[in-house]
Amino acid sequence: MASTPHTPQVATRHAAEVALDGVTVSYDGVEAVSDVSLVVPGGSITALLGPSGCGKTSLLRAIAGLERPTAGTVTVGDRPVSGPGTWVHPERRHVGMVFQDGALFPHLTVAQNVDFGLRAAGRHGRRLGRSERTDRVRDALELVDLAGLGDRLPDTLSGGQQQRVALARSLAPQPAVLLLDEPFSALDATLRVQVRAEVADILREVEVTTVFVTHDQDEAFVLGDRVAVLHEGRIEQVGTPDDLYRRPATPWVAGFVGEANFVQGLLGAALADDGGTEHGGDAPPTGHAATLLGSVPVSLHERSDAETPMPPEEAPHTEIAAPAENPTADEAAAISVLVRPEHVSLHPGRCALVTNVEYYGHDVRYELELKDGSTLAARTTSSHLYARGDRVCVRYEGEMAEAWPA
Amino acid sequence: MPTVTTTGAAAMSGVWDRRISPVARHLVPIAIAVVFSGPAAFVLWRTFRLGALSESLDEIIDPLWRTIQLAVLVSATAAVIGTGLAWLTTRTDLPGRRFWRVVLILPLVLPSFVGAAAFIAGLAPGGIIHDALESIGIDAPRRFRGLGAAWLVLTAFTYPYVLLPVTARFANLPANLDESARMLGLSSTATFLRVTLPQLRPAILGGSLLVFLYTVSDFGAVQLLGYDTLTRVVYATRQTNRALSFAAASVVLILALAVVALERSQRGAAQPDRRATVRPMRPIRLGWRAMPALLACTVVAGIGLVVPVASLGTWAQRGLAEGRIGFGELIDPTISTASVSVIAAVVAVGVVLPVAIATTRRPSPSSQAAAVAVIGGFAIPGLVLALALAVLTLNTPALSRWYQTLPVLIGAYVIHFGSQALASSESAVRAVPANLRESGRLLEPRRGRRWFHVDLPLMRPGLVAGGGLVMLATLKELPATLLLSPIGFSTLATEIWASYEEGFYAATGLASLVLIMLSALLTWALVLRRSDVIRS
Amino acid sequence: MSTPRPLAGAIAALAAISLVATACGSDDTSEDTSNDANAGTTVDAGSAASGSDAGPDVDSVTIYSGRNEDLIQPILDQFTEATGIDVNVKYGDSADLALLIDEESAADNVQADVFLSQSPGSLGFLEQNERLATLPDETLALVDESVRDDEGKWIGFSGRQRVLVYNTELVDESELPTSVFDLTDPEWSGRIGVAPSNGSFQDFVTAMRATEGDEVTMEWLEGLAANDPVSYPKNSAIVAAVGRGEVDVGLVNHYYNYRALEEDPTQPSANHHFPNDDPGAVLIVTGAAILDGTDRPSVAAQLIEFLLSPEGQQYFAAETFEYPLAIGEPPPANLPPLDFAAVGVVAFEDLAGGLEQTRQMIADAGLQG
Repeated sequence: MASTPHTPQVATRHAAEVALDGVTVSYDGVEAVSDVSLVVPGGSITALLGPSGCGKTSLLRAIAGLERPTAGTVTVGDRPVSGPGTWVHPERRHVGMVFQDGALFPHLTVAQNVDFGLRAAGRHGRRLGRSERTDRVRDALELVDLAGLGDRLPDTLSGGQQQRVALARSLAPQPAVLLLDEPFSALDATLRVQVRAEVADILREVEVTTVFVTHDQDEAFVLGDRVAVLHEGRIEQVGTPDDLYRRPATPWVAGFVGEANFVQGLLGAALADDGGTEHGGDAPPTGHAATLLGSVPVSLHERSDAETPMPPEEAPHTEIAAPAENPTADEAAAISVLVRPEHVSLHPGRCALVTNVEYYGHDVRYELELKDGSTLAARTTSSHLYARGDRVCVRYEGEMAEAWPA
Repeated sequence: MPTVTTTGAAAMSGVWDRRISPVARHLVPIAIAVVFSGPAAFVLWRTFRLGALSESLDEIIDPLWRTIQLAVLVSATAAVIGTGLAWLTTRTDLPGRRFWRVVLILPLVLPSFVGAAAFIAGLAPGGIIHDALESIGIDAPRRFRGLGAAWLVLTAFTYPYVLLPVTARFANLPANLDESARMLGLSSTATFLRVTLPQLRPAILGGSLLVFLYTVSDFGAVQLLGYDTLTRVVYATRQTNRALSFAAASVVLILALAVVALERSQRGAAQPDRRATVRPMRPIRLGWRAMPALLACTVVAGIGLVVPVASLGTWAQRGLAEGRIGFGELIDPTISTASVSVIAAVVAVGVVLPVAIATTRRPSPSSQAAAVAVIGGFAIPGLVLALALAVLTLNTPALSRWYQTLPVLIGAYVIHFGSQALASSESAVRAVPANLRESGRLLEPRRGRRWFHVDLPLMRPGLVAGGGLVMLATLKELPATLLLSPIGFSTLATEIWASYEEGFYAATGLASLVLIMLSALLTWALVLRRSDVIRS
Repeated sequence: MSTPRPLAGAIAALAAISLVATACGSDDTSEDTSNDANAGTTVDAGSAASGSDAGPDVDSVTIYSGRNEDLIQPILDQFTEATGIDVNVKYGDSADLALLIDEESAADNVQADVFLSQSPGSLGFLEQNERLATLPDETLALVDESVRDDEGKWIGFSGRQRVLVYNTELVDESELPTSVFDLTDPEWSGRIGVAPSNGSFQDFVTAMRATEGDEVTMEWLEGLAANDPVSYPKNSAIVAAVGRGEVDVGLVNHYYNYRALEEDPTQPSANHHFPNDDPGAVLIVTGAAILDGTDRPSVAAQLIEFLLSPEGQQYFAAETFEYPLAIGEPPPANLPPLDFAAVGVVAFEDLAGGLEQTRQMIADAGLQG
């Protein structure tokens, strides 16, 4: 795909910035999106990530103009398209959209589908000549590696091909912004990975501002320059994939973007005073926590939002009690420390029992039962294998861990 | 979706094909086609034997032209009104759209001659239209006749033939096709024209075809409204010049079959129904347009339902007040009407379903011929069809002892109205995804049980809708009932006809109102509650 | 969904079974009767009059009636009461039933014994196709020869006179024409309602042809057409149109106005009778015939004689506002007396051969629909 030749014809007219300010979307009085503000830099690829029902699709449709927000403003480029007293119809926003199932017009051929937006574009801007349109259709189909299938009807294509046609159709009119609504969810697992990679290449090639919706953390991380995590209609955190993974703002985000163990620990008071020096003025205070995995360097957040105290169910997590005996009990504060499974290392010993082993080739995931009866997930390289029933010792081996008051 | 579409061709060789021999697969539709084309064959044969087609052309050409004019106008108008109302009641936030969805299909229950008579009465001084127009300072036309009148009346009572299938199609149409078009730069109007309309086309064409066939074979309305069509030639000369009468009937039939064939060729390959699983479309906000939309619904319902009911009510009320008429005499006809209509509907769906399966899963010349034959049954004027079936029954040794019995009468209804179940049955068959049929095959090896537990429940909404149309048509059928029913058997339609014919308007009014109420009740209880029409 | 479905299914199944059972039952009965009845088809007048051959084959009679149920069923019930003979009736349009009889007869499977026709044309049609049996002389003798067939194939049992119905608010009595020929006068332009496709209008024109000749008739038809009359499908529609003032006058059968006034006594319409010798005052007869191929000719004759009995004739006079035709029966109180010698009667033998010609003349004159 990356080697596919393409012409500059299939490029954005300008990589417009998308800005949302205080956007609220309601259905019959129920808020699907509440007071969301977000800036999508021009040319970037931003993922809206969240579980189903979190409002991410409503937010996307508000950008598209398919939903009318009940409050807030939406700006595309320097043009307000939605806000108090402002409403630009979807067809006049220069925004392209790829739907979950492609939504190709079944009565038109592939080429006619791609040409559809080019013919319509003539109504609002410069009218394209027939030969110019033919060229653009050919370029768009070449871009998605489907040259030669122009005369086929959509129903005769595979699911992956249909999605690529949908992408070509959206890109052909050179939109300022491209929106994708769960574009790969209708595809089966192997196809999804392949099409995702192809689409990522194409999007980077054409440098269009892209916002896409997904409930799949892998998809968000692979494709997105930036990821906005939504939960119950609100944005929990916006950042690079690495930010989200390493420095989740809330336990909920931590659990949603990867597997998380929450280990109970006690924060040494004296060490907590060191906070601020490492991360700068605004950064949370840092210190060391005593846990069953030994001493863990932590960066302590304020108590997380009361509305989202618990990580979601789909991300397994474990709570591990603090050691029973605490040397500095007087001044200690109980905290909950985020420990990613890959930051747990296993050593010979008799501190924990291996209760389950999942072998993935490149690494191995263990489930362990600790002395106090709590369980812990660990991921290690497959260089040394333990078996179910083996006894091991566990240790934290990672950088600064995120922690929240317990 | 990919599973359905990519395995489409392969899945055609699913459950059905492997167990049923190719001979049987072709024989069943062919056998059904032979039965359905019996009356048409008789009409053509009799015309040929009387040898009058060429001599009659002079007397036929003008009525033929008038028939075509009327049928084209009525079916085109019904297509626009039916599609527009379907859109309003399924895709917008029209106030009270569930109410409208029921009310707007009710005009279908009126026999066209009752509708025409009610219109004429409504325009007379004291009639509802006359007084309504007078109150806004307009003189009601003294004469309500000719092309315009026939156009108005027939459209008012046939547009539901388009409304029903288009409503069903809207329910299955993925909303994101429209949204895609908007995102690609089309206005909402352009989107409707270039994306929605092509998706609705088979439903609109199928519905308009029924309207066309209804119009070319209608006699009651055109007779009362003084518009001289081919069916009037058929009736006026049926005794005095039988050759001309049959020639005119043959021309009606040939015209109808040509249009049927044209429609089937224009419809295009049947696409598998894709249920809209993505997300329900948010209703389009009408805003200030809600008022004109409501006005449009009110006018259509007013013409098709309020005017006739008011006129009929005036007649009935006068007779009831004087005690000249009562409900007692209508009890037996009501029970008879309801029974034969429901049975005819069930039988029609059962007979038409194999044809629908054949045309949908394995289109072939034989299946297409069967479909045309089924639809052609609707194209023969009722009286001619009744006579044809009488002759066929009387002269077929195995059948002659069944002459003027209910089974033959129900057979006549099925042949006449089976076409109305065909389109719905075809979409019912498409509603069973091929992969589901295959998985059903793995889970339940017994074909009969699989049919009842997998296929039938999925087809149910479509089959119920198709049966409902047959039921409504049978409820008001007249000529076949008069000639082919057992002696002493009467229905509400025959009561209405008998009283109207001799000018006993009070009895006409009462029986018509009972017919309307019975139709509404049966439609609600047996059809609407079970189909997609009411639920959005 | 699960609860109502078995219930509805059960009801439908029950209905189906009961209907099929009824159908089979009635079918069997009629077959048994016809098997038992192997009597000849010639009419035995004596037995018909006496009813002496009444047995299992003659305890019922079947009628195809083009005359409306409301207008005939009461007198048929009286017949059953008087004789114990059941009457089965299939009601329908006279012309449609005649066509059906023709097809049944061609297939040698006649269902009915008697045909009662509202339209003389339908009797003529069947006579022409040789579907009618000859009536007994005793029966034929009950009426004036002007109101029965010369060949004895049918007999009139009630009569309807052609009249001009008029709106009493729009037309003064003094303005009314003395002859139907006056209607071609331009003063009646646009004011007349006619039913050119209706059987009774065609019968009336056929009668005019018989008395006045084709040339005069054609001239009158063209004159009428030139006066731009309004066409209606049937008599009752004309009376209704006159009542609401859509047209001022209309050419109809006399009794429709009585019926309309019964429905709505406030309707401003009245009948104007032309003189008895005027073609516009022609008498149209409601006729009865025995069908060729019946196996119950005597009971059939018995029924027809009952219609012509004083009881039957007074029923028509009192209940349907028609002229009785049996010799010696007085006309209804509110109708002018009928002079059988003077009044024109639609001649069935002319109709049988000439109805198509009449239809053609009406069309050629430009009277539509």
